[in-house]
Amino acid sequence: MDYSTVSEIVKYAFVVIVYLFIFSISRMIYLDIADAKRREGTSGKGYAYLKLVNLRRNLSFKMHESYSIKEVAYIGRSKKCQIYIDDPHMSKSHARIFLRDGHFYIEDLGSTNGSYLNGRKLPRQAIRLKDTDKLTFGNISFIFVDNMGSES
Amino acid sequence: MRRFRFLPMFYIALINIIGFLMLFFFTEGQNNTYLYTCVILCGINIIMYILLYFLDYGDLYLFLTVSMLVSIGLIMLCRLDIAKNTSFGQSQILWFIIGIVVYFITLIIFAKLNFWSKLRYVYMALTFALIGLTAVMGTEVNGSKNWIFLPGNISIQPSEFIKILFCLAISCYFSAIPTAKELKKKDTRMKFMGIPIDEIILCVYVYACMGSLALFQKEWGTALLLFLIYFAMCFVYKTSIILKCINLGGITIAGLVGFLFLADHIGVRVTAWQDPWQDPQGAGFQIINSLMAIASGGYFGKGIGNGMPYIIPEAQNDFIFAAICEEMGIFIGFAIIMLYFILSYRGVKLAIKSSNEYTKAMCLSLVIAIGFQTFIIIAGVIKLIPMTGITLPFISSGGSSMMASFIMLGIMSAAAIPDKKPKR
Repeated sequence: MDYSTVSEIVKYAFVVIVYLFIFSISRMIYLDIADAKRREGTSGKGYAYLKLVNLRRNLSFKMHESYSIKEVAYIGRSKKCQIYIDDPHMSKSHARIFLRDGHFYIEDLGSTNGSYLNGRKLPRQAIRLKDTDKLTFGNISFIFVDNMGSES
Repeated sequence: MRRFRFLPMFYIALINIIGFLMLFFFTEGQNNTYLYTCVILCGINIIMYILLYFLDYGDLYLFLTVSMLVSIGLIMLCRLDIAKNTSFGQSQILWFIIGIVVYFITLIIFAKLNFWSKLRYVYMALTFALIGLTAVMGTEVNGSKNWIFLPGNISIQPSEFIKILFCLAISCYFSAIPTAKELKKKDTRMKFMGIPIDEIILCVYVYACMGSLALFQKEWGTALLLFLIYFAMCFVYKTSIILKCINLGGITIAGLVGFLFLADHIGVRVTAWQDPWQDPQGAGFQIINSLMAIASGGYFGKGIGNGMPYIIPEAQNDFIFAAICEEMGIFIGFAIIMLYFILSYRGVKLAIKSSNEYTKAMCLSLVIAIGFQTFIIIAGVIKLIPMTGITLPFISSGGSSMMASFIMLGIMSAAAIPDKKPKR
């Protein structure tokens, strides 16, 4: 193979890599790791949070852009929940995220409409969450960001 | 410990490796310097990334975006060097390394020290000193007198640094403008015909800068850029409407006067923009070559080494965007514009988050400067507006341009670091 043929092929790889780079950096900016850290004021320590995927202005009820998770967080329509979402598709106490042995787990609390992890319906028992997992409750989707540095 | 995200850095390293390996094989394996260059560049980028990541100092995204832009620019410059037998690429790598050092120095100076908002007259004096120095000692290159040649074959382009000083100076004024809430209580500012005195002083300064740049140095591109920065800042901070109208009228008249009476400099560029085919060998030569290069590249380009980007005049400076489009395709061209978008987005976000009023204004004005500079040069290359001779930040070859761009980046990153001291 001579040089110009190789160059013809490589140019496609070039375009693909540059666009992958743009995608990955946009994603990093979207998840806004550094900013979230400063806002929570937990510099040095690990932290985890849920980042809203939906556009906030399309929602008829109030929501934050992100919710930080300390030890345990209940998600639901009841005002007692740490992550309180006034969505009619949510159950009063919909799901629960909790920390155990340095890992975060999600557990559905018998909700009517169910919870979805990366598009799959959650079973009854708790499932371990990984960084950048997508969680869906009713109409609302979150990305789970974990910076606890849990090695797995 | 935060989770280490390596992916963007991996892509940058991959681009460097592929690009420089292609250049190595393009010279039929004769020139080992490209292999060394590749290793050095990957090394610098990775060290910088790890350093910024673990120090958590400055802004990571700004640096990642810029290092991608520099990588693409370097590959193109080295490729042009092979064809033209010049050494712009080699010196650009050197400038990149010096630029990173300058970036860190600026970052630390601007993050640690806190008196920048009090130096407005110093910035103004320095601006005029630089313009005066260029007018006296400058040498004319391609119709613009904006180079100072020093002994030892060093040349400086002061207009790049004038841009930064100008941004610092106007931020002093804009950050002092009271907010709407404060105005409601009591407006204590001195006024002349309903316009605050401070805004008039600022306006006079802007026009003095532009006028002296345009008259003494024939540097119309930078003059236009300064005006755009000022005008955009006027809209961000609520200045009086009368002044905005006067500005708009003033720049229109200035443009028309320039077009009608300075036919040898501005008129030529405007006619070359309207119809380059009137004079294909003279005035329209550059723009025709640039358009041909972009068109022949198509969507994915011809592949590195297969095209003829070296026939574009000034391919390493003003027309590097056309050269990149020919060999790497218009998709890389889009990607470059997107990278500048990310840069500007991130900069504006830093400006919004910054707690200090002066840092906010400074960061914003510098972002506007980079954004407009990119717009003016890329739009000129693709014949959207008349061509003006300013550089594409981070991509075009040239030490002054790289230095100035990295200083701007350093100041912007410094805005990301929160104030340790509470505001008085």
